Amino acid sequence: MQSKKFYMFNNFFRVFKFGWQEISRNMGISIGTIFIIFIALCLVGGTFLLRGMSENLIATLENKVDVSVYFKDDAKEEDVLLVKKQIEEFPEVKEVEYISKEKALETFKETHKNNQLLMESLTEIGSNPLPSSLNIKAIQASSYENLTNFLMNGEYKNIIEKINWSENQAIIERLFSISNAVKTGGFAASLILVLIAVIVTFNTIRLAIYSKREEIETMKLIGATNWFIRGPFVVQGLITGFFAGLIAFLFFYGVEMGLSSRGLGIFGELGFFNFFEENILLFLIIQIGGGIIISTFASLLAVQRYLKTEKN
Amino acid sequence: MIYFNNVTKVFSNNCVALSDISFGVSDGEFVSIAGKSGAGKSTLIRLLLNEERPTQGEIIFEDINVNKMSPSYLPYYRRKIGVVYQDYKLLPQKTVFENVAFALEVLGKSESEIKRVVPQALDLVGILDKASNFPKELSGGEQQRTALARAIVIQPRVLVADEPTGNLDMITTKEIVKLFLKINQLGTAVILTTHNREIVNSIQKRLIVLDKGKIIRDEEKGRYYL
Repeated sequence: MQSKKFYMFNNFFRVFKFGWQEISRNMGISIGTIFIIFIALCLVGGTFLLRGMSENLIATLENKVDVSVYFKDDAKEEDVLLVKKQIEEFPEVKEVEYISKEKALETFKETHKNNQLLMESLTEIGSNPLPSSLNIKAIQASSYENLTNFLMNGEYKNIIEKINWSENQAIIERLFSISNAVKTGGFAASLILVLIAVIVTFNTIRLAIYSKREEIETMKLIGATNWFIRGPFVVQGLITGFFAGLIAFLFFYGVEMGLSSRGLGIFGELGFFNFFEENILLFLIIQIGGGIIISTFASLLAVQRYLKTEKN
Repeated sequence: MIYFNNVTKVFSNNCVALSDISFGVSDGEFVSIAGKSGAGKSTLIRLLLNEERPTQGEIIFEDINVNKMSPSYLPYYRRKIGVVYQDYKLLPQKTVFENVAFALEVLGKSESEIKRVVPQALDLVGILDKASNFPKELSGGEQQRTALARAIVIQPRVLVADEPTGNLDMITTKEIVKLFLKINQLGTAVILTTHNREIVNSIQKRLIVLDKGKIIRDEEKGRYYL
């Protein structure tokens, strides 16, 4: 008498054997299915990467956006520091940096130390011509306008020489509107593409299993339990999903390597590719995990249709 | 062993396939069920295998009421019956050996038992030399022998054959019928449906004749005439 444990192990082993046999003996169909899941995963992975990379790029650009407030020559340092303190109290302000006249001069000299003409002019003037300033970074673009209004109409308006916000206003606003569009639009686009990927995969697997419906019927007549019939299809789903995910990952890895090694100018500098490198493990899990889940679930669902006992 | 008690089957389009059918099959018996196409032979087999449910009446196999069993018991019930069809119903991606082995794998038999028993079954039906061929590489007769080996390898109480020679030439048909008789001699009950007069008359065993869904004759050593 066989023990129950032996029986279960035997069945488990056979389900795997049959699953693998089906794949290897139907190489054409298996490769076709893997290719379709690969395409679907490219859609999913592509949107994931594009969103992440764009958000990374925008975050880098946003970080470069700031507003400089230049003070009049006769503005006292303690007044400037008071302004700094007040601005820092705004919740939407991320960072305020005070640049004194001396610091400004030092930076200027350091930057232009090789420019003989500028250096000579500076000596000729005799005094420090550079103004003190505050460099403000905000969380949102809309905050810059509020800050500018506050400064221009507040008690310190007399010591302020100029604010360079208005000069950059158009560019900054445009950047932030693009950023918002990418965030919301990107999410909607990913959802739609993921849905398309899932539907295409489901249909491919459904058709592959449809061609097996008579074999499924035969197995039922021989007395195979539903799990004994379903099992090999699930194993096939697991294996094809795994390979499709792995190939999709390697594909993206290859493309990323190729593009980033060429630098691609400003995109490389702005960290467009950093997103992929930082999230490489997550991406690997998404691709392989996604492949396995979509393909296995589709197999289960498709085969279930033929396992139902239909009677009049 | 098997009892059909007043079984009637009416399909949803009001087509009466079987009408008030009653008969029994004993252990080790050989029963031919003959009739023209559409007489209800295949429906009768489908009812026995619980592929369909009767509209009225009941079917008893040993002590099981076939139509009242739970769906989860169905696979275990079907393992008691060996079935052979006109279209063989082999699994195309499996070799002859694997097709026959599958019936034992379903039962959870060990690999060593499968390696021992499958060649015996293939030898009995005379296709041991084709063990590693795929179904598409076989003739119709060889495919039917494979199906027969698959049906008997599980040592069923009854072997059911639904028009098993329908696609075969006369010489092959005679060979297959001889195999059925041999299997019956070894103790397995056989239920064979056919519309072939020559087969029935050569068998010289119990004959049930169906016409338009009704039993018109049930005779020991009957002859089939139209």
